[in-house]
Amino acid sequence: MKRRTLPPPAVAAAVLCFLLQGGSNASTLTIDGRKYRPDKLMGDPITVAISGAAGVPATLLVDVSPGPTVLYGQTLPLGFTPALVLIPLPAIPAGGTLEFSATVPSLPALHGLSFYLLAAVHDPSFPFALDFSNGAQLVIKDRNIQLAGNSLTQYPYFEHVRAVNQGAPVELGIDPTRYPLIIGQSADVYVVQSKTKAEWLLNAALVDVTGGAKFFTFAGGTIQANTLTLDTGTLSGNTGGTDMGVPYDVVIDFNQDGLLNGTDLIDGYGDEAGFYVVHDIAAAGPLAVKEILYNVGISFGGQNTYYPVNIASLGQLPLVVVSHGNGHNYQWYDHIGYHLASYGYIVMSHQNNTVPGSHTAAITTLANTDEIIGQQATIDGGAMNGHIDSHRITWIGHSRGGDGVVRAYDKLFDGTYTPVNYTIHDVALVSSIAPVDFGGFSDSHPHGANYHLWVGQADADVTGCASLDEAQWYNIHDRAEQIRQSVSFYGVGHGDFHDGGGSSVASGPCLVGRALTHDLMRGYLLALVKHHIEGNVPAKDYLWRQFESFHPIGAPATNPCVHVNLMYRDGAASGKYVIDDFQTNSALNKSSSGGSVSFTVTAVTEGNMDDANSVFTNDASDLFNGFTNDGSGDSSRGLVFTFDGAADYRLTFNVLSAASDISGYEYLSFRAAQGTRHPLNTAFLGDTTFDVALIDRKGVVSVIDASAFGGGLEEPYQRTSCGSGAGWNTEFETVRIRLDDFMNNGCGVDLTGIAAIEFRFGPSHGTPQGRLGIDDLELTTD
Amino acid sequence: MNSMGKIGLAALFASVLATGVTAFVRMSQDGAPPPVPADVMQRSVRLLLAQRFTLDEAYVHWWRKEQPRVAAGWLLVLEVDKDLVYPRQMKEPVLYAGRETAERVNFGHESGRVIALVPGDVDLARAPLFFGQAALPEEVDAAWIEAELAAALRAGATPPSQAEIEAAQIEPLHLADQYNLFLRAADLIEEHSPQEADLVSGLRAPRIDRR
Repeated sequence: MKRRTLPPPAVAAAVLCFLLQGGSNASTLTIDGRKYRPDKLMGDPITVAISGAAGVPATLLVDVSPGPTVLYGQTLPLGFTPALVLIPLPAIPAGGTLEFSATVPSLPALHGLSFYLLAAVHDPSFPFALDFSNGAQLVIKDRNIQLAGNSLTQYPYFEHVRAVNQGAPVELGIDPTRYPLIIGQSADVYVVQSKTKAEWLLNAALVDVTGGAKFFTFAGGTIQANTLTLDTGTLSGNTGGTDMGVPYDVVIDFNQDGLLNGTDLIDGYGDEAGFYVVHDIAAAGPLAVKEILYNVGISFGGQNTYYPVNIASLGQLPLVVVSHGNGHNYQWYDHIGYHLASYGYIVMSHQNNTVPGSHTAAITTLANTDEIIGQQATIDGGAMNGHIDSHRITWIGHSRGGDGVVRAYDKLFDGTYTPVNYTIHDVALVSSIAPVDFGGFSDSHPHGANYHLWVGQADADVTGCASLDEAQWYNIHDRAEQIRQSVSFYGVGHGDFHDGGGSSVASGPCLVGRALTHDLMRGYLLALVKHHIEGNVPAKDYLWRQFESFHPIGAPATNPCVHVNLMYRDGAASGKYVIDDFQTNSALNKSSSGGSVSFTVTAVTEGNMDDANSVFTNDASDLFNGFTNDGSGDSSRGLVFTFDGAADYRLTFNVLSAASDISGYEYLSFRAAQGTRHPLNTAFLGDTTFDVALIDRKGVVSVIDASAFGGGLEEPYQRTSCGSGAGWNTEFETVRIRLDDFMNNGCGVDLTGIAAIEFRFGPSHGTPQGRLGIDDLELTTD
Repeated sequence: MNSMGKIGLAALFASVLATGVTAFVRMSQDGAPPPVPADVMQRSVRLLLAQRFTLDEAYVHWWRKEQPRVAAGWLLVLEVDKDLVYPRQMKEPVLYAGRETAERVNFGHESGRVIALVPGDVDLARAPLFFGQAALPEEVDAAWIEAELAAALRAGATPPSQAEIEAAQIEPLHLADQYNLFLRAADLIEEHSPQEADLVSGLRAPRIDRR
């Protein structure tokens, strides 16, 4: 379904404060019992209640602007625009409350619009004989809600998703406590080929693609009671082209007329489908690929390029540039070149001048990118001429080349290198494979680049050990200021990322090897570029959902050595709200957003996420032992704490009242990690689980187990060396929980008035004991 | 079963165990670079071939901070300690010819042979060939090199003898540019370090006509 867009938080907060505050009124106005912003679906009934002096008439004022406006000496929460409508109402009855009901009109044009309401009670005891109520906002939504997904074995008992792997079942889940109108109703449930909103308006006919609509009678109670299998895994994910994900919509046809109309509900009434069935994205795409080897005539100008054979008919294609590492070779990336080219990309892997260092490598990347664009009319007889989309460039670099691509971006940012044929704005994605960090904070800085990191936890060259900042993978990642993400493979060595043969350059238990590494890489790589370069919707699911429950079909997930950790953080431009990223307000009792923080967990420390010595050996004085997120000059900060198993513990982030309406956001997101080699963790070697609670301003609490969606916090890779003990770096992974899930089954929590987000640890909440780190606690819009 | 049979079964059992141990070792440690030796300056570098080159078109020598342009120099084949040239992402020992850094065109960790380019008019008879401490050549400047040379001399580094130079030196080359110089280097890599076939094929990629 379409995502909601938010006004800037500060504006929204100001409006909210003002509306709640109201004026010096005695009368009140509520919609469905609430004073502020109920979202109502078209076709749903609403009840408006106005309280005031009995026996006097009232007028309801409806406008499209919240004002405020000064009128009769009062500041009123209404715009008084030319669109203002006055609705005269009868006298307020004895008892002092006038109630009336209406139905939200089903007019597509109203979707997303807000209407602002104000009651005026004609009470002669007030100045000018008008007692103005509080203001109220009514947001009208079309009947587009989340329906498709997977059932879960524990609360919230259902996850609504965008991507479903081909061959996997897909279910419908709807919470009767949030949509009470479904209770007792029977309906035909359809899975249909997706249509845009405009297409639905043109043609409302329902044609099921699963072998026939399913009759279902909805019950009260729980979402579990209103979950049904839509398809057992028969739906095709074959798009017939290079796209990723076949879009489907889900419709509950209450009036069983075979049309989307009336009070029917739909998942997918917009440009985004209800869900997408995705084929094996680790498998080759549909296009035949041509590989060419040539030199563009500059220093280190060898290029190995892959492009679709039928490029002449494909228009402009995104460019992916691969920059190899030291001792590697530019002909060693067939697994990237053939895979992406088979999905419609031009992939150029170039000779890279890595031995002098990563600054020199960066110059090589910059120059080779310029040359393939500038010489496209000449290369391979001009076969790619006019087909290179120079505004959609991805840089992927390996080891020294992984640092090199970041340094290349940094040089564009600093203006110390000016290409002829592209600009910094054309570099849409920068991805580092097992990078060194020679440039450090000043030179290896992704700035606002859309940044991605690959980590092989068994890397025996760029080891990730605490002993050397230059060999730590996450420094660059944590420097990225906007979108940043990572994928970390246990058992994968430095040499596994290329296909040049030789050793894996790996150290550690349960090594995965090159072939399986490439099986992992291909799927995640396609999802990465599809999402960021083409805006592909289902691809994003692969970048953050827990590997244990969701991954590319071709990923070797049944191999016991294969473990994958993912991080994903949106950029500020997404409209997210950061509750605490620990970058400011360093006092333990205050979050970066200004809210208070309280806790009963112990040994709490906020600081730079940098191992204080050169080893991962457990050391009580090394508070951030195993953290490798900070190099010299960096200041990526987070919080660490302990819970000892003797009792339950909590960590509570209070939400500022001005930001307490979180209903416009989609996910609660944070990253967390087990402190490596800490005895509290090694005693319970395995995923750490705990609860996440939303607490509203009335004290209503909703709790979700952070592992409900597929896995807890993975134990660190059990690699030895880098000191004594087993366990490599303290390994973050991102957990995202859909905010709506906290409302399932009538828990009653009010997302428009959240007081706190609380993490609960200990015997009653999951793993009894542990030493954890946490960071980037955010509310995201997508 | 006789004693010989028991011995045979035991041997078989032991070999199975050994295979398992070998497999485990292989799967838990696969090709980490050897540590950089502490005594890099004392490891010998032997001159095998020396060829002067001149170019019509100069190129940038990225292997020192000053980034001089190179229109002439030496193309060398050197016999080196394999551990010093094992490719690694971390800092590597830097190869010097007197007061100049040498560009290593190949790695040579399997063959022990390195094909190197030394810019300028270095007098080989006065220039010790040596490895210095691990560093990034792009960060190495004249002052650093001077200190490294002094340390190498203290460690006993000496220039090649006149006899070595005479035995190694072959006819000079005049080439158009760096691309052609690398083609010549590729021939030498193929001859002296044949394990690096991908490097050779990469250097020999045909050049397209430039604009």
